[in-house]
Amino acid sequence: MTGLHTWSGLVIGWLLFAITLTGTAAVFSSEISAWMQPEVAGRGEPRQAIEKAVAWLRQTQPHARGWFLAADERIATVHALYEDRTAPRGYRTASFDAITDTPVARPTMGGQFFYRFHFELMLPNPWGRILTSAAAMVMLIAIVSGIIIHKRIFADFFTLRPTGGQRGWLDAHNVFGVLALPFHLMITFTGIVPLFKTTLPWGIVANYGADNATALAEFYPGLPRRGPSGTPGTLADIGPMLAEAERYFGGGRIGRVNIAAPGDAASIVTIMRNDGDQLAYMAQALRFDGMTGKLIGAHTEDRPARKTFDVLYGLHIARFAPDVSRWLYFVCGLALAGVIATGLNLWLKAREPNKGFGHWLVARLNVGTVVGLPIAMLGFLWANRLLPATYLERSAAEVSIFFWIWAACSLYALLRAPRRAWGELAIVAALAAGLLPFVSLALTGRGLWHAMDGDRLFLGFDLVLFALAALAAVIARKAFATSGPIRLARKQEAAA
Amino acid sequence: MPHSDPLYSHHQKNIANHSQLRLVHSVMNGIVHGRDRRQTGGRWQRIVALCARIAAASVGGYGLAAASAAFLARALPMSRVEAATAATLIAFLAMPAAAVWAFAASTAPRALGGVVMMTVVLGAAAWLLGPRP
Repeated sequence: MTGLHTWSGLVIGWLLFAITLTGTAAVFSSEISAWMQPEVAGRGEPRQAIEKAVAWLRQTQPHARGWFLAADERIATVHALYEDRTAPRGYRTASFDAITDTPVARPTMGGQFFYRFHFELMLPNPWGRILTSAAAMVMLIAIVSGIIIHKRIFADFFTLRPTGGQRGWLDAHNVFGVLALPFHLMITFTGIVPLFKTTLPWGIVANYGADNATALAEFYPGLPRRGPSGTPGTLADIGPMLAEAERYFGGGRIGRVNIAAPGDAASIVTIMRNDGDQLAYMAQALRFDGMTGKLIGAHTEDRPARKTFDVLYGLHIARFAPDVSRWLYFVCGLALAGVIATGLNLWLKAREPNKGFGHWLVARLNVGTVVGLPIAMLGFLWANRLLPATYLERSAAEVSIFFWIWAACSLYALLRAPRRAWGELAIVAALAAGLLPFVSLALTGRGLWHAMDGDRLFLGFDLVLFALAALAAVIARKAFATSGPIRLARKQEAAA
Repeated sequence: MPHSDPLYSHHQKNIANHSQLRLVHSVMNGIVHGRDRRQTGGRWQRIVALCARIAAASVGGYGLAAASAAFLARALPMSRVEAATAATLIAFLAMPAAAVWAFAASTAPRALGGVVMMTVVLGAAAWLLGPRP
């Protein structure tokens, strides 16, 4: 069982670290989006912002296959996604508030990048989803086998002997793992569940065979079931539909508005309740005929198994969570990243001294991932500040920069001695995190110093960046401090 | 014989000083060597046995999850969409269960056989039940 735990953890450790860290960032995806669009202050009612977005899309994108609007859970902004064949990824995004008639902010994926990378890795469908699901399943196996091989779970709650040797790494691995164990189990299982249509469709196949359309219709009764007719049509005024949806939701907020085939006679407007309103994901949806604006279907989810699925999904994405719970998700997510990072390091420590190729490679991949990925994530934020706000492809460019930086860090880690690379890259991370608030303040005029005026968003963001910088500095110091054989020799000298 | 195995000799070296790890190591030895003695004839035999366990955990585990999902989707007394949903949620637990079984069973043939047998039984049951009306 120890072998199962060790090797399953090693094989997927790097991928899991990336999934975990981006997922942890995605807990605050709204806040990250808002930070990455400093022009938006989140003014006015989200409903009016939706109307502004629809009016703009009607003028500029009448022939798109669909418009997808998402009202932010936290900030009164609406993000619109629409098909555009000239864009590098086939779609573009634009953000709106309730006041302005045109997009109010620089185009960026914002926090959505971390959210999507977390389960798609920016790979073509379905490969990213299959890969992340497989990794999550192996992690579930690693956690279960980790519990089985763990003889003294309660005592390890309080045990940390930071000796720097194998014992210290094992203690750290156990503390991170045991402290938030229920979270680790919950987040792993609920992470596997949402993608089941890709990863484990056999229950559906058993009952529906190849009839995917019927399966989808029964699984999502709230979603539209007709395609475009080919006859052009005019979309009715969206305002009354939004008002009717709000009445139906009984005080609940509007979350997403999907408009299928907006320029077609058979267009359908689907309005979904805000996921921030309840634990369950996508609990209520209304369908309107796009031409007439008449309600053609309403669905409130109350089927037990499906609702269980929705609650598991909702638990994973944490949109329901108030601020305190979000911070708990964030901290527990960091603990999970800590479990993975210490586990990867423990594999090395348990095999030292070792001159094998496996040891050589693992040591370098560890640096490239555990320090390289955070640098790339910070680089993504830097790119957001440094690329010109008017550059049309900046959204895609930010993502490319993320990957280039990660590749560069991995290459550097591959060529350099691991202990040097740890320290040097950690210094880069510390500088990237520590300087970003100042650069951002200089370029946007918003920052920590405006917290007194009520600009809480930048306060939290900058404080987290400073904390990350401090953490990276500590890691750099540890890495540069002499360790390994030299320290051992010193101890022996002292003892003699 | 197990103690001269080059695959694990480096463990031996490091672990000798740590009593807690010695325990872990003896458990590992038990899994890889001790209770597996019936097939510890040679190094290759042991590698084949390990591969069989890995296959039982991964491919076998997925097969078992798929068969459980299909069987439960047809057997659970609910509407077909509800049954398919509930079946899938339960079936995901079959994979970690299969993986633990694959490495806890006393011999590799038992590990692989157990998973395959369960898969065949559930798959056959699903097939016998036939598609729901």
